[in-house]
Amino acid sequence: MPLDVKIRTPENMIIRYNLAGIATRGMAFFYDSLFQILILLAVNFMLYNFIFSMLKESFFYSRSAVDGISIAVNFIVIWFYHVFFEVFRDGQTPGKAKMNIRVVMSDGHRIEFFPSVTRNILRVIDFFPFLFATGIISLLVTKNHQRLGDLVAGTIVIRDMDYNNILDSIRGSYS
Amino acid sequence: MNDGMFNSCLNGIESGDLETCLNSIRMLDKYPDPRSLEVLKALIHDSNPRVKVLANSIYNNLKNKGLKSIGLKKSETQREVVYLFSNWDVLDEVGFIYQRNFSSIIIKSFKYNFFKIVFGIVVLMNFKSIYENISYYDTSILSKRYIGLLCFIAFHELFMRPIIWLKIAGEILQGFKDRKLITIGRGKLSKVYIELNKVNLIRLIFQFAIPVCFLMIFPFGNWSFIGFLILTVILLGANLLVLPLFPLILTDRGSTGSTFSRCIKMFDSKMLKELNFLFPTFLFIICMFYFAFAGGLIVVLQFLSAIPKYSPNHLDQFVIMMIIVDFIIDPFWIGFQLLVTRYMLKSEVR
Repeated sequence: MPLDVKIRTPENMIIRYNLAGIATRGMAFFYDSLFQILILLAVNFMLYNFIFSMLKESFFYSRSAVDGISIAVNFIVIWFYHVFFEVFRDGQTPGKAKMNIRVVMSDGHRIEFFPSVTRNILRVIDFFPFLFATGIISLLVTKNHQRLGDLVAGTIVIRDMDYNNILDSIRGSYS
Repeated sequence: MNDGMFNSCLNGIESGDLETCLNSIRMLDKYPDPRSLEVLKALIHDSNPRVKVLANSIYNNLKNKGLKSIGLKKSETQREVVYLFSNWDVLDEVGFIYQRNFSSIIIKSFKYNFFKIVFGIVVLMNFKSIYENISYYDTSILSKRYIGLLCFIAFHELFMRPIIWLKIAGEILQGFKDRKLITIGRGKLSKVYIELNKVNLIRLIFQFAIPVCFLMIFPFGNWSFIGFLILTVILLGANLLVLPLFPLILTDRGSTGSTFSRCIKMFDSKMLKELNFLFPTFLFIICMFYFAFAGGLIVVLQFLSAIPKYSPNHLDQFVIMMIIVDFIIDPFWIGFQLLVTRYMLKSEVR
């Protein structure tokens, strides 16, 4: 039976979210990493083959500036990929969308900018010492299946319900 | 406060007009109701400071008057059936089962794997002297360097492992939300030990014969990461051979048919069809767990200078680390096998 988190609304109703498990989250991260690599390859290819080569003849061109811009772009893609999608796509990065999960605040609200930054920066600590060992232990120990980044940012990762599937199952169970 | 009044208060609070909202909050104070506490509690976090202050003062006021929020435990219905739609849900479920009884599982696993952990630590502590005494180039699997390790693993896997599995299975069964399974978990599972031992022998042949042949051709020293990954997959994959015995645990009944025929029967085409990509995926995840924990331990111990940073062969260290961290990851296997067996026996076990 999946773990769930219950949130009580002001109207005294209880909303129940199913939490995303370790395999789904791992797979979502795997897809996101692939997307990030693809984005990085595309961006660097564009920078070096089109934009910088166009500027090469101009007065402003300098090799160190080119490398600086490249480093800045890579930094943004690596560190803000998750933040960008989580904030602007309602808690879903492309990987999470593929696996039907999303990040929300632990009170059920939509994730905001600073919690998203916090949980994604702390991904480094979760990775420590190797391949997310800390994160895996944290997921197994915490009540709401949270990694350290989630604990600090006050977020949880929930499953998006696929209502068609649920309806089919209900129909199936009565037929 | 009746339902109509309470609803009009809620409408006022959500109207968007500040004055209407504040008046509605004051109404909650005038006609105290247990439901008001929940509303006020939520309004304490409102973005508007006036709403925040007023809600906070009325909340404290009502609390001081002795008002308590309604306990909803009685009205909640417990879910009995949950649908797992994909293979990922099944794999997630293994983690949830582990998590539900985490401390007991880990304690029991540590207790019964104690000898193995001590053995691993002793080898680690003497790593330097082992390398000084044994030829650097002697990397054959049948060398003095490996033979002791192989004998220990063989003994452990054959006689100790079935006991560990049964003990951990008992703890994991208590993590299921099914009374029947919890009762089985609390009972004695030792009746399956002999059966488990027989199948374990087959598993050991697979686990040893293939890697040893492999290692005789390609000694460790020449191995790449991919080669080691293949070896790990073979070693772990052989654990699936024990799966046919899990129905004995879950159904709480005696053995029927020979162990070997049971194994063959279980691995018919229907079974493989049902497992489709679930098993390879789980194998991949479990391999990643081994790499994460064993690799992590190496990094930490190297950082603490407890093991040499530049040993002649990192893979030797890695094998020892895998033996040590096995007590954390092994329960995933048992959980997975119990869950899959439960699926196979839909008609017998809910």
